[in-house]
Amino acid sequence: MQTIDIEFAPKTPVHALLKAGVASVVLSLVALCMVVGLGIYVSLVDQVTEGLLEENLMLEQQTNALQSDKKKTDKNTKNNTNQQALTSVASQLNLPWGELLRAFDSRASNQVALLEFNPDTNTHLIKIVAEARNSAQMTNYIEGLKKLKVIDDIKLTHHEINTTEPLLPIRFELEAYWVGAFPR
Amino acid sequence: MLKWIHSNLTISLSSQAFVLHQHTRWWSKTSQLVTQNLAPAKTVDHFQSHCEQITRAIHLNNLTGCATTLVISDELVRQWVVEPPQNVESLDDLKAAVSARFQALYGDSPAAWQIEADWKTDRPFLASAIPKNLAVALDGLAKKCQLEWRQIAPHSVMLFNRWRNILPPNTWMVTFENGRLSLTVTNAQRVVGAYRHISCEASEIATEQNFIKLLNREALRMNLPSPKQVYFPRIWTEFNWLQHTTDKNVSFNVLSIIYPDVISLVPAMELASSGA
Repeated sequence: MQTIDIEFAPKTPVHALLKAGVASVVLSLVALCMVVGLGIYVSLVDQVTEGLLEENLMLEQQTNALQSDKKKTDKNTKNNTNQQALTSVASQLNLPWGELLRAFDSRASNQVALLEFNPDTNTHLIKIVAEARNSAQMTNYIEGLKKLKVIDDIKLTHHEINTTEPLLPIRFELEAYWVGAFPR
Repeated sequence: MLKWIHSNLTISLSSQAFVLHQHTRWWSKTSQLVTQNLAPAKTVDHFQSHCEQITRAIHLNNLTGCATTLVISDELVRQWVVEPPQNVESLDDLKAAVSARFQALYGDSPAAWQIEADWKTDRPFLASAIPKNLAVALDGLAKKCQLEWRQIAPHSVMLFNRWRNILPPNTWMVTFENGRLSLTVTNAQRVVGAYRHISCEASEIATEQNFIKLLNREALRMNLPSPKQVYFPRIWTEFNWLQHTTDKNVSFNVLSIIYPDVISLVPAMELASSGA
């Protein structure tokens, strides 16, 4: 049934508010504020999400770039390592084994036998293992080596009587530094 | 300040008395009822005198600034039904039809009356008028007491609006006030189809049979079939026979008995009408 809408009250904004009901108007305003607030919140969340996505994308791009750089660096490092290995191998190959051996061997008489000859191309250190008939021969050999100009700081690091041999020779080890660069 | 947001005042005004009923909402439910007889007017404009007495009572009881509903007794109001003219183009056409009908019914010029209506273009609608000096006096009352009007309407209109959702189609609703009957008839579309506001003798409503005769006479005047279902908002003392009805052709129903939990919207009006 419809309302009989007869109203003698002056039509003012307050009258309209009272007729609609203060509580319903307040609730409507609260609902409106909530809707607006929700809209703002959703908008802010969208903006933040968009920002995060952009940031994430940038980070991903940066990560990809870094990974790419790392791959390049790794490749370069690998290339450098290979280069160093090649250089080392080249240095080893270019070492004048024959001349060195001849220099050391020339000081050895028939009483001294050169058993091992280990030069280090990086530190210029040369280790030698040899055997002498007796200690006098060993001393003479060392004195002879000291006269060589190409080596310096020669040291006797170890010596012992080799009991496994019937003539009981003296086995000794020497260290000396090669003076100057190795020939390339 | 802004007392009208939480504090309601209902003023019920009849020709003999007024009632102030104040009640607050929400957090503090308090109620205050002030009933006062209207003193004889000392001036020619008796509505001005009535409103001055109401103003004093409002100030005395500290009821200023409230949201206010004014229930005007039907005896102070003229009400009639208007058939809208064909080919209505604007509200002015309806206003002209209402004024013409007013003049034809009452023989007075509508200039001295403030007319309001439930404007409809497709079916008959109810119109009401209050004297313009009453409207002016009410304006002065609102200004002096800082009242904010929520509603100003006739008593029978407020009662009908209160019970309108409960009324079935093709029924008569009867309201009674100080020797005057208001008959509101709803049609099959459940809207007001006809309305009569009449004075009646005590004998015409004293018994069930007499009242049925009165209803049948009014039905003839309104060119309607005899009523089958009649609803009363409550039992007035003049209608005590409603408690023991015998007629099988007419069904009398009292809404306050059928729906005891529904509180009457304007209880103070009964006091004002009785001139207590």
